[in-house]
Amino acid sequence: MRKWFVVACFALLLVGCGEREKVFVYQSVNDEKNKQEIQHLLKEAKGIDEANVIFLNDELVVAMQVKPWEKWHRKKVEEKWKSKFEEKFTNLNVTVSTDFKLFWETSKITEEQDQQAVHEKIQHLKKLAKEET
Amino acid sequence: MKEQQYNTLKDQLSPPTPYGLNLLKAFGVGGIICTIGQGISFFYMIFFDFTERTVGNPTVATMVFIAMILTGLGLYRKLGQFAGAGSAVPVTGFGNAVISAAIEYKSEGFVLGVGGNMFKLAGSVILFGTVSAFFVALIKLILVSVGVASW
Repeated sequence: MRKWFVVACFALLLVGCGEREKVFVYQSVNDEKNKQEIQHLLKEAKGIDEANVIFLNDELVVAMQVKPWEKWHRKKVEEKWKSKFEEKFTNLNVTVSTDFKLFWETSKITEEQDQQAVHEKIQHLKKLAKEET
Repeated sequence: MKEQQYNTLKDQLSPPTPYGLNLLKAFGVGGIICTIGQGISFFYMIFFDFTERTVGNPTVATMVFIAMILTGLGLYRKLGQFAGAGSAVPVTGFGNAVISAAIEYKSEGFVLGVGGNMFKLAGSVILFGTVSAFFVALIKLILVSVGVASW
C-alpha cells in the first residue's frame, strides 16, 4: 500500500512537469506576424493560464483557462478580451470563452487538418457556449 | 444524585472526544468525495456535450446515485462512522438520507412506510438547501451589484 502511494506521488509530480505551450494559435491561412502578436498579448496577461486561439475564415475563437481567483469574474474577463480582440480584428466574428469544455475541444481542433470539420466544430462549440442550463 | 453531580461523573468517566482527529478525518473524506465529484464533472465535459456551466446537474445526480447504491450495500454507513460530517455534508449525504429512511421503514409497507417516510430526513435537507440557496443568491446579487463578482 505504502509503495503504491509513493509511486502515485512520483507519477503526479512527473505529470506536473509536463510543459505545454501557453498560447496555441491555429490559423487557416498562415500569418506569422499575427500569430506572434496574439501570443505576445496573451502571454503577457497575468490572469490567464493557457489559451487556444483559432482563426478560421471570418471566425476567431479564443478559449482560455484562467487562474483560480479569476474564475470569480469569468464574464468580466471574457468581455474584456472580447472587446480587445474586436478592436484589433474588426472584420472577424469574435468568440471568447473561459469554459473548460471549449478549451478542451479547441485543444483537439489544433490537431485537425480538415478545415470543413473545424468549421463545423466551431459552430457546435459556439452553440454550446451559449447554453445556460 | 443531582443533575450537576451526574454531569461531572459523566465527564470524568467518558473518554475525551478527539476533536482534532475527527476534524482531520472529515476534511480528508469530504475532500476525497469532492475530488471524485470533480473527476465526474471532467468525465461529463470530456465525453459529453456539457460545459462548466451545465455540468453541475449530471454530476450531482451521479454522486447522489452512487451514494444511494453504497447505502443500499451498507458501505456508506461505515464511511459515515469513520468520517462523520465529512460524508454527511457533501451532496452524497442526501442520497444516504433518502435511502436509509426508505430501508428503515420498508417493513411498514411501500406506500405508508417507504413512500411516506422516505423524505423524513431528506426533507430538512431540501428545505434548508432551498433556503440557503436563496440567501447565497441574495449575497451574489449584492456582490454583483457592488461590482465585486459577476454572474
